[in-house]
Amino acid sequence: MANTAIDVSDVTFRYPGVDDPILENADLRIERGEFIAILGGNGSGKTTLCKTFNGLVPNFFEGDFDGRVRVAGQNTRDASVADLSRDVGYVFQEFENQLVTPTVYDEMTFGPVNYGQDDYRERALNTLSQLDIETVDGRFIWELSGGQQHLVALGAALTMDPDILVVDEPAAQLDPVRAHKTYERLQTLNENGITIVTIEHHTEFIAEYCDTVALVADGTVKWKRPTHEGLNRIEELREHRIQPPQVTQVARKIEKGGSLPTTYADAINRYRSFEHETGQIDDHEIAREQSRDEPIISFRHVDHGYTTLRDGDVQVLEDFSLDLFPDERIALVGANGAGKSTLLRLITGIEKPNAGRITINETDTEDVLPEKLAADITYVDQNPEDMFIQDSVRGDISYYLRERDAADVEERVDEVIEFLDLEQLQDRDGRLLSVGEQRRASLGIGLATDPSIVLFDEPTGSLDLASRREVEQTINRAENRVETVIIATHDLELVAEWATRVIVLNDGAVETDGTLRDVFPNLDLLERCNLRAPQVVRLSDDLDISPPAMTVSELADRLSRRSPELKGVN
Amino acid sequence: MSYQEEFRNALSIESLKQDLLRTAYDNEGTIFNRLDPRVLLTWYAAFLVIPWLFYDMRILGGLLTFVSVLAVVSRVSKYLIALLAFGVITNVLLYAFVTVLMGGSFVQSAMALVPYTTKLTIISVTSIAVFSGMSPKNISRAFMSIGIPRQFTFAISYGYRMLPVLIEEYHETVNVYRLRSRAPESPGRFKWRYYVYLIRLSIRAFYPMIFDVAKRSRVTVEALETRGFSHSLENDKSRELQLGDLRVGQFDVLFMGGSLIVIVGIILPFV
Amino acid sequence: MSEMATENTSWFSFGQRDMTVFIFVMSLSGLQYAITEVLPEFDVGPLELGVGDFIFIPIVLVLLFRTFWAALAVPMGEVVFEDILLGDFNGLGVMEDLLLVSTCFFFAALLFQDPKNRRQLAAVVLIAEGLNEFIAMFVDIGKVYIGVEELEAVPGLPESILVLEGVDFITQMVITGIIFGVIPALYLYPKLHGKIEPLMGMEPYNGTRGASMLRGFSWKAALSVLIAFPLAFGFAAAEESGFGLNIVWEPEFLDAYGETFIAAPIIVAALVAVVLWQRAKHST
Repeated sequence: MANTAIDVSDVTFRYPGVDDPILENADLRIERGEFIAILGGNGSGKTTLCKTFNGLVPNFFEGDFDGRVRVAGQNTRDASVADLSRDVGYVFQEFENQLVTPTVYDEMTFGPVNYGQDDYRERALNTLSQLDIETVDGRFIWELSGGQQHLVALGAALTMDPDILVVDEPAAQLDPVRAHKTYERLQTLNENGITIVTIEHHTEFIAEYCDTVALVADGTVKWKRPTHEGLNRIEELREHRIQPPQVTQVARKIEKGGSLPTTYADAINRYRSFEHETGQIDDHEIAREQSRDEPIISFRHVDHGYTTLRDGDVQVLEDFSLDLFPDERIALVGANGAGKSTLLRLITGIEKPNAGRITINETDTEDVLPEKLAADITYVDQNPEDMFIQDSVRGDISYYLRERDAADVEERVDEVIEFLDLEQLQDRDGRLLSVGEQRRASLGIGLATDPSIVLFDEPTGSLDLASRREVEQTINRAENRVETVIIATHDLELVAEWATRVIVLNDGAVETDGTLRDVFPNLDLLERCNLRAPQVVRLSDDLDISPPAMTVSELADRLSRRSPELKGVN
Repeated sequence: MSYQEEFRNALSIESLKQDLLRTAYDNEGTIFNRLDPRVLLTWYAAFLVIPWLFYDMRILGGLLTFVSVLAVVSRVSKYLIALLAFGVITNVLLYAFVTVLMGGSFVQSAMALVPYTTKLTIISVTSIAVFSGMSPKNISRAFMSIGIPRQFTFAISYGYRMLPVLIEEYHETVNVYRLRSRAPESPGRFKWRYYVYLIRLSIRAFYPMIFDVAKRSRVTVEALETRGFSHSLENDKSRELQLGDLRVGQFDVLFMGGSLIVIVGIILPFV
Repeated sequence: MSEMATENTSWFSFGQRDMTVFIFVMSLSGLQYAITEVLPEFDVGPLELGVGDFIFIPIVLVLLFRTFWAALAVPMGEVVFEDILLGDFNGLGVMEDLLLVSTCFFFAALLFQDPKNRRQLAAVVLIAEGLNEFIAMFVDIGKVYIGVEELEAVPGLPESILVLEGVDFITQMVITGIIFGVIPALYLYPKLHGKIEPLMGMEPYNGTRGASMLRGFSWKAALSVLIAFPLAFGFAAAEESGFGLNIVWEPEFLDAYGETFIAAPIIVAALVAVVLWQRAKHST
């Protein structure tokens, strides 16, 4: 037992006032020094399971609790959350709300001071330098970017020298390069002896960094296995709404059995020996024919920035020009802070350029209120929850029409609701829906205005497979009704499956602009912009497959076509 | 300036936000922030009393000048000072005016009110100067040192943490409403339509905010538990560490001494 | 949760839920005070005719959670966000707010027995705001009486103060109490009731269908309002009169009211404050 860090046995838990238990007979054992991923779809109970590790369940959340959890040999029921937290550090998914003090330094010393530790200063400073964020120690939390805030939350947990660190969805809001850095950091901590538990549904990260993986579904731990073995159970993962890594999906299509590669390195080794041959380009990614005459949205020499307390005026866009045409599927891609959201907000007219002109359908955004522009443009927020301002989905969808005293509101709303299959959800409060449903409902809100342009800001953030599918369908449906769809994202898998035009933003400037085929093969450029092409694109590059495959099925086709010997070998 | 433009500027929460943030967050390095908060509280308590000891308008005027200088030095928001001045002057005038309606004398009642109002003004200016010059961290430590429970002093630093976040969130919510609402076609007489529209949006925007803050509060209190907050409440050592680096230094002595000299200088010639 | 405010449990026990509610109500009330502070006001003369506070927000939240801590969080929000952070601190006047708003709101919240009864809801909101404004009016009048020397000697001045405070009370009741109080509260409360409590892990308050407000009348709460009144007055007087120092030198005043009138509330205030803080400290 001495080597067991966490021992959950037969735990059942029900939140007060809810009929079904969120955890049911869950068993899990985590050894000291393990780096384990808790894998599961949205709402599977994985977060609740992890909250039993530091006693939040059942000591903080009152509810019906059965079973036993031992952490570092201690029964969590007999210890307080505060005491357990000295051993178990916890970084919440909503880490922004976990930061409770005004400045970074205060946040770092908060824990040690609470526990009365004399060396609180050294602990804070050591942790700051360990995470390479010494320079921000005097900053206000609200001044920091999301990524920096996440680091501070992580650091604050580390100042307590925990034996176990639980991190809930560390990569959810980060661009791919930053997400990998976060995982590398966790790996270093793990090498220094800390047991790491991450809650994650991006199997790519799990494959690269974690020793073991536990699948949580329907409130119970289905199994815990070494990562490679666990991620090979593709059908089971899919059944529980988990997307396996792209390399594994490709292998599944071309290999009938045996052990499939899960990491990128495995996949390269496996397929390197295959002979090279030029494939045919699938036609759907080729840019559509455009009538390049009248842009629907046009930026002309736009300067835009904002004022900060510390650094005065910061320019986000400088002398920025760009034309967007109707009937394009436009993906604005870029790292966190590259200026994607600023661009979208300028299009909505909520923000105005400091210099230059932005025209929408030949209307200068300077000349009209955003309320007017909204008749043509729908903005679907990064966080769909922010779109709900009424107490029912139906109320939200009809809000715009009622405001404008539109004729036959009810029929138009009915029509949108039917179009998006929202009948079941229309009377529910938007805030209380699942994330995927929220996305769908938020599009309904947008479509009710009959817009010609729809803007999606980061539509796939923090979604499991099923919810992602729902979003992709939603975007496709939107396309049938409007002229132009623009997506701002750093999710390049989504872009690969959908876009006809890819605009890469870096530091507020257009780094490159072209078709999917033009942009994606340029791996160095993407890397420079803190982006990372999907595994299949990189794999194509490393295997010298030209032109590179964009999707899993494409690469699978290409590989199986190229390598008849493979089937023979296996 | 077009209606649109005017409307937009008035709605520019952005500039208001900047002003607010500067008031709340730009107080590093002000005199009051360099003082030991306990010394400052004592000084403040003294200033709640001193004006009441004198009736001579010359002394009161001198004291008002002194605290106003301090207010300027500690970078008090001009907006607040303007508001205060406006309040004080209209207060005296209105009382005097209504006195006339009641059959009294304008001058007589104004004269009776002026010393009283001046004293109140001295205290208000002092309060504003001290509390906007002192960082909330020091304010909460000052309160903690006089025995106010940590739950309440924590509320101050938590408010300090959250104010810009909540205002930003609120601003976003107002924007969401704007993108879905209809602005008045014309501003109307005295722009009343525009004001009604603005107020209607401001009120409605609170509804989504309530849900947002509810979720935040829940996570925050959970997080407080995991950070040993409740542990610190019974822990003397923790309290000691939080107040440990408070000490009265040379600057504090200089400030107290200096204030004393100035005040004596103001009072002596007239008694 | 619905049990928390009953006579059986102490008002001053302060658990996790109270902390959650406290932070929740404080943040929203504070945001509300901060926003209304910067909203444009249409001042008609020096009388405060501007957009007052959106008082329905704190009142509805207190009615949902019905604890003393929820009620105390309202003035705390004002003190923290408006007074301390925005720098508009008004000295010991904050004590007046802390005492009056918290006790008046709490008293009114306990009277609310039937969440489905809209008339009761309207009445309770009016009582909360009215009681608070009414007592505050007396405190204001008293302040001037104490602060201005020879007030009675100026003909017309005392009357003018009464008239202006009266007018102010009425306009406050109409603007803050009704336009920004009762009317939006009637709309907001039913929308939040039963939805926001579970989100915070609590059971909604169901009350008793058809129950009368009298059932919720709590002597303790009423008494706390009655105690808060002289205390608030004491603090106000303390500030507006230099802790009674200038009064001691005014023989007319002493003759009229006696020194104890001023001293007693201050001493009581100090004692009660100490007791409250001690209890709050030990019950966590």
